[in-house]
Amino acid sequence: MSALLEVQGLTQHFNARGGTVRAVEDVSFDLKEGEVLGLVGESGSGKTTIGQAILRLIEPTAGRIVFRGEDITKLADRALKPFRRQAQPIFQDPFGSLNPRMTVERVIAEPLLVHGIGKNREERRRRVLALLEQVGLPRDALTRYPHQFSGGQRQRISIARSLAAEPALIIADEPVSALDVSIQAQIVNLLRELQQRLKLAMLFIAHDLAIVEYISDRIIVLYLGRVMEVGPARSLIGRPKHPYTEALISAVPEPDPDQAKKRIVLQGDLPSPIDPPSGCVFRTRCPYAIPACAGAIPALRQVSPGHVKACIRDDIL
Amino acid sequence: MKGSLLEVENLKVTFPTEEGPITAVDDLSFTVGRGETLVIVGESGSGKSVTSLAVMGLIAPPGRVQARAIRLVGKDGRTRDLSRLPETEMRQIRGAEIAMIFQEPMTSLNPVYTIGEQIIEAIRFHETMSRRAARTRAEEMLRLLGIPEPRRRLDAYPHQLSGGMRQRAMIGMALSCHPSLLIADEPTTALDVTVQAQILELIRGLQKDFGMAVIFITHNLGVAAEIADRIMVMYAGQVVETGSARAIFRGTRLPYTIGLMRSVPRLGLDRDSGPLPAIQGNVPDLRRLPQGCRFHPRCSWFEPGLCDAKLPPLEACDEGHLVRCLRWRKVHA
Repeated sequence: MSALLEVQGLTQHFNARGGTVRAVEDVSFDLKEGEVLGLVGESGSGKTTIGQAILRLIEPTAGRIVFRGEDITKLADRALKPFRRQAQPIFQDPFGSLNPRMTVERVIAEPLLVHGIGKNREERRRRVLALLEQVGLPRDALTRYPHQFSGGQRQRISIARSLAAEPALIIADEPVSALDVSIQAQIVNLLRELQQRLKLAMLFIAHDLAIVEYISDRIIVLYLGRVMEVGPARSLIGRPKHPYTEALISAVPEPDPDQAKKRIVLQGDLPSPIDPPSGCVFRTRCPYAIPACAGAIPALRQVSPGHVKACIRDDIL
Repeated sequence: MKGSLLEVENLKVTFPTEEGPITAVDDLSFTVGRGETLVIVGESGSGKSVTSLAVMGLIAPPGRVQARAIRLVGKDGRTRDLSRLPETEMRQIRGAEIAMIFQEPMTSLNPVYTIGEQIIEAIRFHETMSRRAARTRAEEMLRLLGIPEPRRRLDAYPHQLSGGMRQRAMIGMALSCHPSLLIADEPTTALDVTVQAQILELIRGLQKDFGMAVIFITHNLGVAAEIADRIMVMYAGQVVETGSARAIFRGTRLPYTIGLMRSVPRLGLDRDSGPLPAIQGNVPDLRRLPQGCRFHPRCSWFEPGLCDAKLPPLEACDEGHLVRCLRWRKVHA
């Protein structure tokens, strides 16, 4: 499989009072056709910013975004349009991301109109009905408004809208975290089923490790704008090689009162992205830090095929 | 009230809407023992937050609270019925006897006052104490909560602190008068997992130190498993199951709880073995509740003619373990 998307040295800085916020620093990865790549990390890790930069909702400070061999980093709006049809977002908040004044039919038909898909209204309606069926909504949803639906149903509407223009890439930013627990699994199942059936590539951005592990082929772990570890989903979660990944996994509460878990509670707070620590950015909270960690920014090194970590210590995990 | 700190009897909370009144909490009774942690688990519309606001006397008109009694044993040993208490006396209860923390600390921290000013005000509202002594107590509290450089943080404004620190500051304010009951409404939901782990550890530690009881409201069964002595599951305004944490996690007899537990995503799931187990359908709209058992349209144990005809009563399936299901004898996880 060839790379659908290549992100090379992506860097995103924002000017703020007090200095430059280094939201994303030198992040590189590939996404193959039909592959699901999970992006995990806590707030301030840069995961949402990466998604926005790929969608070209913000202009990267440095680095390149290459889609199907074409560098889209500097493309102007008009030249971007074919890419925008191919890469569609799904957002966290199905309340804020659907126009309350549009019927469900108009919401879902909007990308069809924008990209000139469907010869006439009749054809577009057929397409919208097919999409409703794909996401498990009834036909009579067509004439209703977003507020008449529950959170889970609204997220189904956003998924239908994202799929309308037949994209090759979905950027899903926390698509289930605003939903009730009993609904989350439904939506994760729907996303996976559609991804498999339509052979979609997906960048799945979330903080819930269990869901990310379930849906992703590979996972990238981010901390303070930098890549800490990349690897195949199951081996990265099962046998993490970076101390931050280990701490993140150990913090997930187990729904079992008898399973006393060995927990690594990270001390202190996330350092300021305006003035990140020298060397390894995680060292100030790392239980395994040694003086050498303050020296240089650790390079990503291979620990097994397809599995890399940015940590200089090989004697710990 | 032997051993009980709080006894809520037949609590009902209604709100008028354009389509007629809705019952957000329907005939709810429960107790919390001294030093005990009761976790209320529920999804949106279950009534878990409204319950805690009603106990605090914070439901504003046109919301309407009815209860046979909401009895609280005070630090002075006297039992008071909070449902009959005038607002002036209720103000003395809040903070001193029962304190509450929320998901979003900015809803309870005032952005234009420093952390110190707010904690000192809370202390001096309830106790006769000099500003200096109150400031010392506030500083001790922040130190206890693991806030670095507590003296300096007293002079910080809420926006100058990180999310986790703000949550700690709010907990500090809530605990500054040593309440005997802390109500925590999704206090870790907006936090990252590593910060959540810090805050849960903190609450557990404080509870041990102060012998404080906690009502902890969450939708996360993983969090519930970490801290609960007892669990109360709510659905569409009603208690549907209650029992010890162990009884619920090991031997639940309720289809809804079983569904919730199965749908919690766990690490190490094998996706090749099929889709995630999910509860079908949607959380019900309180304006259009189903007939009979409120969960029946989503239930895999549903029996037509039975579950859609009669509202199940809460029945004891074991000692101290109550379930609201007509078919509980046939239900197993």
